[in-house]
Amino acid sequence: MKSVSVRFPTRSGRTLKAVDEVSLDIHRGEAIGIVGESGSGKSMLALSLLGLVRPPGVLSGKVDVAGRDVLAAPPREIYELRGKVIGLILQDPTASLNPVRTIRSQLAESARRAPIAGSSLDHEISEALIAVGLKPSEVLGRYPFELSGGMNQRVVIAMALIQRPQILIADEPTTALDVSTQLGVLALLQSIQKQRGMTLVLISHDLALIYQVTQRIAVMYAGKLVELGATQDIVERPIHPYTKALIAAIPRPEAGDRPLQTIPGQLLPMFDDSRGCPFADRCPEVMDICRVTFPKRSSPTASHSVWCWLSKTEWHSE
Amino acid sequence: MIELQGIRKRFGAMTALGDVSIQISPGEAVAVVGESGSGKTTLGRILLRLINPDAGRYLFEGCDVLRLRGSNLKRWRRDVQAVFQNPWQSLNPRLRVDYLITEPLAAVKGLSEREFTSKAGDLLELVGLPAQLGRRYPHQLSGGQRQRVAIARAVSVHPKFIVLDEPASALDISVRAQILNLLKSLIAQFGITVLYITHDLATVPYLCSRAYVLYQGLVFEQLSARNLVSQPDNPYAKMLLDSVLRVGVKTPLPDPSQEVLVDRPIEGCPFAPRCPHVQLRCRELESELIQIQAAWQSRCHFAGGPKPMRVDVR
Repeated sequence: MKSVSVRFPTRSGRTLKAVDEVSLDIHRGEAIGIVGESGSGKSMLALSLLGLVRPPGVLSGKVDVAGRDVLAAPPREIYELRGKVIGLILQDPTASLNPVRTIRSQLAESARRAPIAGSSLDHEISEALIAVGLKPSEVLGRYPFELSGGMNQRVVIAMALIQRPQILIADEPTTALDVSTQLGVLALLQSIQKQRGMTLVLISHDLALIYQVTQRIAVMYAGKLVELGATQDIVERPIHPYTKALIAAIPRPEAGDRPLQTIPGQLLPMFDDSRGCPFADRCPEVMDICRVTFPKRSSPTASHSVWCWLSKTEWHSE
Repeated sequence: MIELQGIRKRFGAMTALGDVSIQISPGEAVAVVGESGSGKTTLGRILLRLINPDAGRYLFEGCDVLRLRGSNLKRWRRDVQAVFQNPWQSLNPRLRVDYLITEPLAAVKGLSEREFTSKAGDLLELVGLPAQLGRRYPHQLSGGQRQRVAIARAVSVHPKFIVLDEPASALDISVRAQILNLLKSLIAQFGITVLYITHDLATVPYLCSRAYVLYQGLVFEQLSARNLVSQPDNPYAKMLLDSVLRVGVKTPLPDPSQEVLVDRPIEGCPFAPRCPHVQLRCRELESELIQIQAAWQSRCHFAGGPKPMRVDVR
C-alpha cells in the first residue's frame, strides 16, 4: 500500500480522513497485526486491500495485491480477488452466516467458487471442517443457531479457507467470543498461517491479543499510521506515547485494586483542514510542533518506525 | 444482605442453573465469572427478577423477593438497578439523552420542567459527560458515552443493589478502563452493593473483593478476588485465569486439532471432558463443593490438594 487514503465527504462540507496517506508493505507469509481504537481507520485500511470502500467514500493511492493493481483492475479481477486471493473474517460470525441455511450449504457455496480438480464437493467440505477442529458429522446438517459462537466463527474461517486464499484478513475475529474460546480461534489462525504459509492480517483494539500471534504490528490512530515494527520492538520498546498508552491500558490481574490506566479524552476524527498529529490533544508529552505538523517517519532500527516528534533518530526518507 | 438459596432454572431441556446459592453482604462487591453458557447472565436476570427461578429462595434484606407483588414489587425494583453489556441495545434510540437519563427518576417521583433540566445536568456531570450531550440521541454517541448514560440511569434513583452484566466488555480497551474507573468511584460514593458479571478475570480484583466461578450452571469455586487471580484451587478457575491475555507474555495456545464438540457429560464432574487433571472417578462421581478455608470452596474431587496428572480413557 502506497499513500493510501480513504476520504468521506460530510454534510458540513468538510472531508473526513478515515485513512490518511498510509504506506505499508505486507510481506508474503507473515502475520501482521493492525491495532487501534474505534475510529483509528484500522478496518478501513484492511478493507482497502479488497477495494471495499463504498461510495461516497473515496479510496486513493496505490494498492497492489499479489501483482494486481486493486484501484485500476477491472471488476472481474476484483471479484476474483475477493475470497480467492484474500479471505475476510469479521467480528460477529452470526452476521456472516445465513440463519436459514445449513452449515453444509453455506460451505458448498464457498467451495464452488474455487473447486479443486478431482476432488468431490463433499470431500472438500469435510476437509475444511476438520481443518478448523469441527467434526463434519456433527455440524454439516446443523443451522448457525444450533452452534455456539466459537463454533460459528470456526465455520466462517472454514468458509474463507476453502477458497485457499493467499491472504486472510481477520477483523476482531474473537471480540464476540469468550476468553477460552478466543484462545482456540487464535491457535487455529496461527496454525493455519504457519502450515499454509498464508499471510495473516489480524485487526484488533487489543494489543495483548495481537501480541500472541503476530511477527509485526502496525499502530493506527485517527487514520494515521503512527508506529510500525517487529512485535517484540513494539511491545518492549514502544516509542509513540499512544502505543505506550495502549499497552498501559491492558488490565492486569496482579494489579489488584489499583486504578486502571486510561487514555484521557477521546479519539476525534481528522478532517481535511485538521493539522498536526491527531494524538496531540491526548498526548502526555505534547510539544508545540505536534499541533502544527505531522512528523515524518523516523526509524531507530531497520525493523522499527515511528511517526512522532519525540523520536530523536534522523529522518529516513519514505 | 442479599441471598440466593438453591436456585434452579431450566430453559427447555437445557439446565441454565442447577442448585446455586450465593450471599452478598451490604456494601460488598462480588463477581460472578464464567464462560458463556455458565449461567452467569441467568443468575443476574434472576437477581433483577426479570425471570423467575424454577426452584429456590431469593432473600433481599430479609424480604422474600419471589413473593413480592404489585406496589411492593415496584418499590423493590427501585432499589435494584442494572447496567448491561451492549450499550447499542439497552437505550431507546428514539429518546433524547436528557430524557433517557432522567426516565427512571421521573418514573419514581415525577419531575417538574425545572427539576428535569437541573437533574439531567447533574447526572450528566456525575458520569463525566458534557451538558450539551443531553440534547443528542443515542446513535450520536460513542459506545463509551452510551455506557455512561446507562450508568447515570442506573445510579439516578440511588439503588441499594446494582447488577453489572459485562458493563465494559463491548468497549475498546482504553474506554473499558474509563468505564470501570467511573463505576468504582460511583459504587464507593453511593455505597451500593454490587454483583459484577464478567468473563474477564483481569478486572475482578479491581472492582470486587470476592468471586463465584460458575460452570454449566454450578458454582465451581467461591473465593477471594485476590486468590482468584493468584492461586485458584479449581482447574476450571485456573483455566480461566490462564486465558487472560497479556502483553510481553505468550499465553500457551491450545492444540487446534484437539478441539471437539463438548456436550455436558451425563454423569461425573461436568468439567471432566476438558479438565487437564481428569481421573477415572471424575467421570463417574458427581463433584461437590468442598470447604478449603473459611469463605473458600471448590467443586473438585481434589479440592485443596495437589491435582493429579490427566488419565485418559479410550
